Amino acid sequence: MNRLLQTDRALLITSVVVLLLSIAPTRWLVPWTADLGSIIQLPLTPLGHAASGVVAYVRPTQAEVVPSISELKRILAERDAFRGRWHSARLQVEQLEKELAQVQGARNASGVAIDWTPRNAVVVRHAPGGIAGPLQLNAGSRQGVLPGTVAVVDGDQLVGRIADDVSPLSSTLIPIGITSDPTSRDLLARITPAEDPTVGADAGKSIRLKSVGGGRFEGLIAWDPRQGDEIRQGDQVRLARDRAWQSTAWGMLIGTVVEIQSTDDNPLRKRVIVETLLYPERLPTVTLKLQAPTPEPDDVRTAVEEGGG
Amino acid sequence: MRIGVFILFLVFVVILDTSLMEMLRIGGTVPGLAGTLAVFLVLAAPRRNALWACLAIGLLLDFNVDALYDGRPYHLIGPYTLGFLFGANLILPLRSMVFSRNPLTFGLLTAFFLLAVSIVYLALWQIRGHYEGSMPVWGDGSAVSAFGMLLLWAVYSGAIAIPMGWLLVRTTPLWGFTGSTIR
Repeated sequence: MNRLLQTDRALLITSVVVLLLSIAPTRWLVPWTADLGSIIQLPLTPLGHAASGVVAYVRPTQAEVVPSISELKRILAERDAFRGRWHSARLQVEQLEKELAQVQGARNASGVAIDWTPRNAVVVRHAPGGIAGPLQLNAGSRQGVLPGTVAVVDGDQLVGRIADDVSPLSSTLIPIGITSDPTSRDLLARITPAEDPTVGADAGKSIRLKSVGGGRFEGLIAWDPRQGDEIRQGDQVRLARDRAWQSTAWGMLIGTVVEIQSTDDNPLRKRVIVETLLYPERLPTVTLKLQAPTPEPDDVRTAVEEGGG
Repeated sequence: MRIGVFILFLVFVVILDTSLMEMLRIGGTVPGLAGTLAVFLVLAAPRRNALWACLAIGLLLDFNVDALYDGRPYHLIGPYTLGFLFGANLILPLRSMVFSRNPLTFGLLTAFFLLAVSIVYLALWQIRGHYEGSMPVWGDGSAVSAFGMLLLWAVYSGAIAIPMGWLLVRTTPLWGFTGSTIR
């Protein structure tokens, strides 16, 4: 072996093989390179995990901000306003809980699980050189991670989804907005005013967004000159009921409106530019919304029949 | 050259590059140490050993870049592997002309080396951008802007290489180089 490595011919052959692999059709590479990469990563992942912890400790992603007096006053006013809303919402919640208990009972009878549980996962690997791209997480199928599992931070900020190949101890997170990901290329979203705290997949104005790279999206929205601008810079953009994403992603925050442009070809439509609030490549951890696997249609039918007696 | 020592350094450098160097991010630029290790080996190790080592470093880096094809992740073997081989072949003729023990040599050569790596990296990904369903890792952005980013990466890594190169030269006795050309 050592003798072989000492020959120029071996190096030349290896280089040619690598060159052929680098220009080989992608569909030939997909089935085996991800698995081979996982095996190679196996001994590196725990060390990478420790290194990510050090980065998170030394350079936390969110710096502490000391609010000014005027900001403090605004926050206090907001607190009082939200306190009032919270009391009214509490009563509504009690009513909803009763209804939910009924739905839960029906769901248990049918055997279809739609619950999700949160699980924190550490980003153990970024692309070298800070290039934005998929991230490697330290959670895999053994922890209940499935293809399509949604990742968020800060409760409702959508980071992305888990790629199809999930290994037992790690998984690949595809951040939202990566143009090579079909689910990110075209998003069904809703725009809600920045000052309106209403959240959800059905609140606000509907828009279809296309990823333009660099964490930006753009989409066209109908504009009525009589009503003036309904959309403003800073408005929040949330994922609507987009079937390409798991239901746990619906209503999650994609980003904010950063620019509204007139369109020459259609004066009754405006082009809305949306930018994500996150730099996924800088995140030390994410929260995965783990969903139980969807049962096969035959299992559901059987469970409904049994539940229905 | 002791293979065990090389593997230890390789693993250490790749982990630093993929996780810990994030700590030194300035704007969108994160420096890398793999280039410094490669330059050190090209300057200090026998020619063939240096080339195989550069190939191994590039290969491991390629397995750390996730690309997507139709939503499925894969690793493209080649951009870094061939880039590091190309860079090594450019540095090899220079090693008899430079003072390897001077830390500034590491800074300049690492920046030059990574610039060469960037050219191969961009060229291969640009070619693959024409394949159906495949996109370059920089997405819809232009290759020129990606090159700008890689240029900054090369320069920043060159700056980091100055202290790292000094440290690596201190480890020379560990490596067991035969006929070392380091001076």
